[in-house]
Amino acid sequence: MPDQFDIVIAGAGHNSLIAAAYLAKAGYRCLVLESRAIVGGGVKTAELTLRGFKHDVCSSAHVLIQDSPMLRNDELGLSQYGLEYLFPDPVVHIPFPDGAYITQWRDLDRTCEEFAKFSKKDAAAYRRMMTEYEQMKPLFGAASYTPVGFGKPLNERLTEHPKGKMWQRRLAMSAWEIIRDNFEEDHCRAFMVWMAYQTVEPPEAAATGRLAYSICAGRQRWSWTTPKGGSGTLTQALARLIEAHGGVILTHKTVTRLIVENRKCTGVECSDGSSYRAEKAVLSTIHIKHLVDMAPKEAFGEEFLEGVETWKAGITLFATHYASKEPPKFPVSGGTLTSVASGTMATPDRGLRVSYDFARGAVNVDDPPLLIVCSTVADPSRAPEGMHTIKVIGNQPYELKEGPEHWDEIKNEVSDANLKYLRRFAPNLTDDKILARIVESPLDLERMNAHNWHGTCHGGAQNAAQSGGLRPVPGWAQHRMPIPGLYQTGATTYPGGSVSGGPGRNAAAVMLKDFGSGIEAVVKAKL
Amino acid sequence: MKKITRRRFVKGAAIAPLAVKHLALQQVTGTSGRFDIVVAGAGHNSLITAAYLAKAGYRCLVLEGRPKIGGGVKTAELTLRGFQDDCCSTAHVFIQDNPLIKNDELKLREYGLEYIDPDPIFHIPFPDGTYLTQWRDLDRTCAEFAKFSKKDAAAYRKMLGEFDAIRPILAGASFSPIGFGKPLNDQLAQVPHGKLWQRRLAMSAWDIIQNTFEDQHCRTFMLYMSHLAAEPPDAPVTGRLAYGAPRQQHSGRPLPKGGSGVLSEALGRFIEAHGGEILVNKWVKSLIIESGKCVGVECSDGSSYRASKAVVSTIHIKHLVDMAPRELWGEDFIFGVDTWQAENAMFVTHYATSEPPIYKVDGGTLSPVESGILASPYRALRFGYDDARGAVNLDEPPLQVICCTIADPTRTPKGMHTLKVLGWQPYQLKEGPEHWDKIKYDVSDANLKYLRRFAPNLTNDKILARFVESPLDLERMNPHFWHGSAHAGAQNAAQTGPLRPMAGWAQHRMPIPGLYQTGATTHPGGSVTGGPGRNAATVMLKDFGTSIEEVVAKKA
Repeated sequence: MPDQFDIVIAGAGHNSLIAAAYLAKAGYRCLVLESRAIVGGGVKTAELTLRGFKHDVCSSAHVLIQDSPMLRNDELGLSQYGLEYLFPDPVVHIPFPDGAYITQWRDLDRTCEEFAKFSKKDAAAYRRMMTEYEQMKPLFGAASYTPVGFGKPLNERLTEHPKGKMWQRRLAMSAWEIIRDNFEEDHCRAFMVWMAYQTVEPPEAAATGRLAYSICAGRQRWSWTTPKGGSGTLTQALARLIEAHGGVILTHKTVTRLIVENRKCTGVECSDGSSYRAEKAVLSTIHIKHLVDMAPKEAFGEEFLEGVETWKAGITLFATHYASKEPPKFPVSGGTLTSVASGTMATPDRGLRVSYDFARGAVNVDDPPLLIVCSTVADPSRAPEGMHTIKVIGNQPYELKEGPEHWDEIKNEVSDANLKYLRRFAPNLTDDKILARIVESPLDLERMNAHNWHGTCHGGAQNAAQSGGLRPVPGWAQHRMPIPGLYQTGATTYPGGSVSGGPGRNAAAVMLKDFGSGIEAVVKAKL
Repeated sequence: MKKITRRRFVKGAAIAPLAVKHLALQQVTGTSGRFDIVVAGAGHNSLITAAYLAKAGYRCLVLEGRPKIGGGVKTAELTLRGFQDDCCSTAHVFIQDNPLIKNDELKLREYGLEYIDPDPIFHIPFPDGTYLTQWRDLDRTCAEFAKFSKKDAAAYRKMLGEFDAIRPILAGASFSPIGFGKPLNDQLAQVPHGKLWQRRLAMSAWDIIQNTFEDQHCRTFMLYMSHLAAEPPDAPVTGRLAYGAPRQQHSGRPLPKGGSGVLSEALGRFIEAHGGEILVNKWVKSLIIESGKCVGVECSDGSSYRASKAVVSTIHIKHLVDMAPRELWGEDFIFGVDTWQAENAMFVTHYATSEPPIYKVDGGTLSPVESGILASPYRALRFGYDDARGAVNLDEPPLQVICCTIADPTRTPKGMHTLKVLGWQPYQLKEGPEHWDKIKYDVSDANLKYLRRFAPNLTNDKILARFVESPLDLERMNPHFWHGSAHAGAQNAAQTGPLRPMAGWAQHRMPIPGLYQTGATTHPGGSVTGGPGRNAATVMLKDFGTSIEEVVAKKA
């Protein structure tokens, strides 16, 4: 291993690996330090239950990232490093308590027929909304994959677009207002609310309007896209690329402190006493709530600390992973249906209740809205022959009235309640089909990955106060941290959480500019 | 059909004279012919616009649909003869920061406007028998917080200091038209702690209150004050509302002597003294468009009035777009109107009583002008959910209780009181808004029953009459209260600043040349601020080649 590095990267999530990949491609010597045994952070696949059952530890769907320049323009040639995507059909299946259901198919017409079962008007509304969003996608995509301040702000881009004024209103509205005003029928509304909710922002919250379109449109276009072999295949491919470009990746290295000399960040120290120096920069994907404890407070300055102080977790997840002999089988007319992704949302109202329960710290397992992912339906390579992995995700607050530690007492009951509810829709999932389970409360999610601060999988709420130029802190949204030489990427930076690769590529764009180059030049350079 | 009991019939009849009794300042039957400006609707904002324009020398004609001017800033006998009730607004808080009042730009005192400054400002009793009173004196208010938590008392004092420091910027943004001056965000980026304010303004009021206060009583008090503009306090971008209590610590919650409507009446007198005319019982029903320009209005009685310079409307945008051919508004504006959302509506009962509410406090009792009931912080976090489902929630209903006669005995016969009890309920019930006519008396009864837990003296024998207004009634009373919205519509992220009423049309200039818009559908929105009125005047005077500063400086 070489002992001199240009860049030291603290933490190996998909974003910091993407940033490292571009920097390595640019010729910088990169050292990536990861505290866990496997790289990937929230984009990781591991045997969580039984040998041979490969579970996506956190993320499964890679939809947003399909529109990133990295994949769309194949900037890094990741298929050469083992990345291959599957595009399952059907995309998502939502069964309702009255026996009805809506299935999203890759074919738009077929999906519209599903809506038309309930309302022809709603089918037309679905088609119209998907079209309206597709028209704006280049504009929104360009804004997400450009660092804050590196191009025209979104608002200006919208002012210049013929439909832009309407979108200024839509973006500031709540997803629920848009869904309620565009759809008349409750099944259709419930389906749209479930979709809008998939990045776990409360759909009735102001400024979530884009979510009424974006998540659904992404899946309609790309399916419930998932890498062959597991979500973690992406981070494994990135790691191979970094190593192929002279980078070094060390696991079991927990960064505990930033080395600050002459007010500049010049390296990091790990919990095992080792330390690593960077000649050019340190790139962190450590959660900002922990990052500020890794250097003297005054080095960050009052404004940054105030911003970290006011940071909110938002809605958190509750997950159960199962090893099973069967996928969920949903009764449909003429037989049963299996789907990589499915969900429950009993009524539109149920989706509007989540934030009220969260504010009170109340667990609510009454008709719980769920996401069920059974990747083995499309990718049998992830389990022994004929076997399946199932992930059941609900939303419950980390901050319980009784304190977060209370989760250890109640988590198995909450998991049981979710399964019991799921069986109302997929009655085949009886105890004899279930070989093993692992339950992850919001507290467990934080224990598993310190970046899942207070159980949040997206770094923190992606609401008006924590998006765009305010993420992570107003004035510090350009990946450059208050300590010179220190850059930040990951879900606490623009454009935020989910598997988008945006924070990674944007951080690389800023760093490369600061180093006197540019990401475009690096992308164009032949290997 | 709804059963009408005799008792209800009698109470309803008590207000019947209003319909015929002429309450305008002065009966005007004819007009002097030609006007520069025709003003459609006489709310406090459009009257303010007209007042500045009249002072500038423009001949203004104001047309009002009801028998009395004022819109939401009006006082009338709603229950019994001699009981002057504020029909909608009562306290005039925000307008104290408006240069109109702050700099006494129109000398409205000479036209009859005088403010009373009640102390205490606000009183909140809690279900456990404790209470928190906001007094005009800061130390005394802090002592109230300190009963529950010394830390929270210090937090309140700190919040006040923080708000005082930023107040000129926030007020400056409210009392400047959109695009006239630096955007708020740019101003914040340049002042100490401005970046923190960028975050705070985008947060929810609840997030800020929860972070700042530790005790549930203190949190409840702060949350109550943040909800007075009827935005759900857990909604993103309501952070500024968390500073509701500090904002009124210095200004108090002033009342015009004689009633809220005294402001509108003073403005009316000012306009008439400056050559303007005001006609009541004139419902504007359409805009006159010639060569693509708005040149006047037509009323439901067949009369029409022409304006040689401009028409100012304070008609709700949901109705305004029906008053001219659709194509003249353009697709963007129509979209903005179609997507316009109502607010969490009010449910109001006006009482004539022989006693004010009497609350028990240490060492005696207290009868404040304004008091409020909120059982716990969580009760206030439920508004958004109940409103979205169209569910009436009478479980410990949050209430605002206003008894102006404690500070202003001129409003009633001697020893008597007016009492207004306000709650918040959705206009759009699951069963449809018409269902309100079936349930409104039950809802009013439930509110009173809950209020009596805190003010047990308000027994039936103290109540002489009542007048119940459901969200549907509010809309019937004033079409500008669209879907029960006393602030014209939600004042949320999608409907504030440059998005009010619609992106691209926030500068009071409407898509039809010659037509300007003011009132609560324009920046800075609803409540008694006078902001939309003065801002509209600023824009119009600029368009006419002068400026509001010049007009203010002009000697009478």
